[in-house]
Amino acid sequence: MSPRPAPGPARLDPAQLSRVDLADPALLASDRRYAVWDQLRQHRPVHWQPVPDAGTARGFWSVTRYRDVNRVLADHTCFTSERGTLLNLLGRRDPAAGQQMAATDPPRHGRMRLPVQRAMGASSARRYVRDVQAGVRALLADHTAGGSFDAATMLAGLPLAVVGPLLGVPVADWPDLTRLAGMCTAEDDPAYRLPEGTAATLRRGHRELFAYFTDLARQRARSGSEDLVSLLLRMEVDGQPLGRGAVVSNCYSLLLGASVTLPHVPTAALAHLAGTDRYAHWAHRSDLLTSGVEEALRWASPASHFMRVARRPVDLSGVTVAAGEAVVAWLGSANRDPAVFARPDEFDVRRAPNRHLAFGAGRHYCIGSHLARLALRLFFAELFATFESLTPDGEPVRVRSTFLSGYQQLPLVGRPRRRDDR
Amino acid sequence: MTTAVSRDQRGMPSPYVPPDSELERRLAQLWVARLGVSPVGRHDDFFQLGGDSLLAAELQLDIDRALGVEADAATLFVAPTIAELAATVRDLLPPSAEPMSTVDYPPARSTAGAAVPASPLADE
Ligand code: HEM
Repeated sequence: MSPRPAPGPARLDPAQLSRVDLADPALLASDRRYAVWDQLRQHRPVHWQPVPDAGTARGFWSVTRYRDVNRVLADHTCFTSERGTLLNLLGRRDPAAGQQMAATDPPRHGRMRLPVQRAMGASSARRYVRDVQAGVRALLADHTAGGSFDAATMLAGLPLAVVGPLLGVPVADWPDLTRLAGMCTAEDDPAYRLPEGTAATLRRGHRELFAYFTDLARQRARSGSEDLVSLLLRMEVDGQPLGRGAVVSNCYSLLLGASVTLPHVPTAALAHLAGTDRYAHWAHRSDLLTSGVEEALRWASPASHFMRVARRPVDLSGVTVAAGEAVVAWLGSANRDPAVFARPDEFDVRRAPNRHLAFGAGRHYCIGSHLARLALRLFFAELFATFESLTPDGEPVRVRSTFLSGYQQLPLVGRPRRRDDR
Repeated sequence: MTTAVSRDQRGMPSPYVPPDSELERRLAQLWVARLGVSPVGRHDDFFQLGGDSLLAAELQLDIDRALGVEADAATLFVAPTIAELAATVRDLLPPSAEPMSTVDYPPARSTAGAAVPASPLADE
């Protein structure tokens, strides 16, 4: 192993590791997670946590080393995605199995993914530059005069700037979809939580989004066009059109795939850079936009984990995982693994190479990665052109989730760049 | 269709109240065909009967086709009972109630022993 980073105040006694609760949103929403992952990588790279009431499962394994995370995500012959890919589905049946791309194994997965990938790949992503650019400008338009604002609230609109044009959703519906996606992913956030509680908020958001896409699919079935919903409706997999449930579920997954992740790359980066001279350093170096965005992705790792279930006994770093057992791959930990990243706890906009796993690995590698990178580059470029500096303006509030890493609130003050500086 | 399990096997909390119009019976048949649960009462909740969001999207398409109307999917997803659905659909049907679409009309299948008329709204 390469040298460990200097011990910080959050060091953890290895003896406590057996009691660590990785299913606790409070732990994952605090910086303490880095100390926990650090100890796990060193002392228990394959760690079992029992869970008393998890349906058919008795608990789950966690892998935290880059190598193992990469293997678990990419090795679809040993690990299935059809028995839940997130911890909150542990031990439960996944209704999307075999129907939604992310919950379908090869070979069917490939036949479902290929046509969609064509519509979202690098060359297609370029078609959306204008749309995404306009969306990004609209987000920042209210703040060009500077002053204080909540960056998390502003960035909640970023996913629709990408998914809106992709699915051909009318601009008038964007705010509604942003709100519903928030109910599905930040159900604890006072901005979205219904008085009936978090479970009701989740259920309601999920059902309303499905209803929205059911109506949209029906309308597109009548008068098809060039958007992705129409493509999904026309698509055939193994000689059969996708069922309506599969079409709607894939729309849902595209929206949520973007919503849960995209805003949190800038929020995590800005939470770290605001109030330091590192913001200005990066802002002045347009040649570092691309590498800086990659570093922001590694740094943020908005998707903290993805889960798989072993199809057969598998050896991981010397531990045998039995067939049928769940393995949680902690992407956020892999992206701070000192075996792969020198000075992993440093935000280095020049980092190269930067083979982070923020978009996953293997066949399920994020299908939205081209669009996500496009949106992030356009966003940071526009942000740098708008603000000369950004400083914190109060305590940020993190999202409480085991899956999602990011900020619910990030109050900042922006000093606008003078026009002639641009 | 898979063999229908009884609603009691699903441990339904609400007591069984039979559909009370031809439209409701027609809708109940579509539910039975999708869910494989029988019988379906007018106040039963689609999701408590074992339905999930993917099945609901399929069922919406069944309803569109069988009844020839396009009700907002919000009813099925947010107020998912036969009674609520019938109320929404009824508002959309032409007043003469006669011309029900026969497109993709699945074979009538009896849930409660009663034969189902070809035009579900004939007696409404
Ligand atoms: C910074 C932004 C994003 C991050 C960090 C991210 C992360 C990921 C990761 C880690 C996976 C792999 C899941 C697995 O292995 O089970 C994934 C898959 C996926 N993502 Fe993203 N994503 C981002 C943006 C987007 C966007 C913008 C979209 C849609 C427009 C999207 C849609 C999807 C879909 C549909 C899949 C499933 C692909 C498959 O199973 O083949 N994502 N994403």
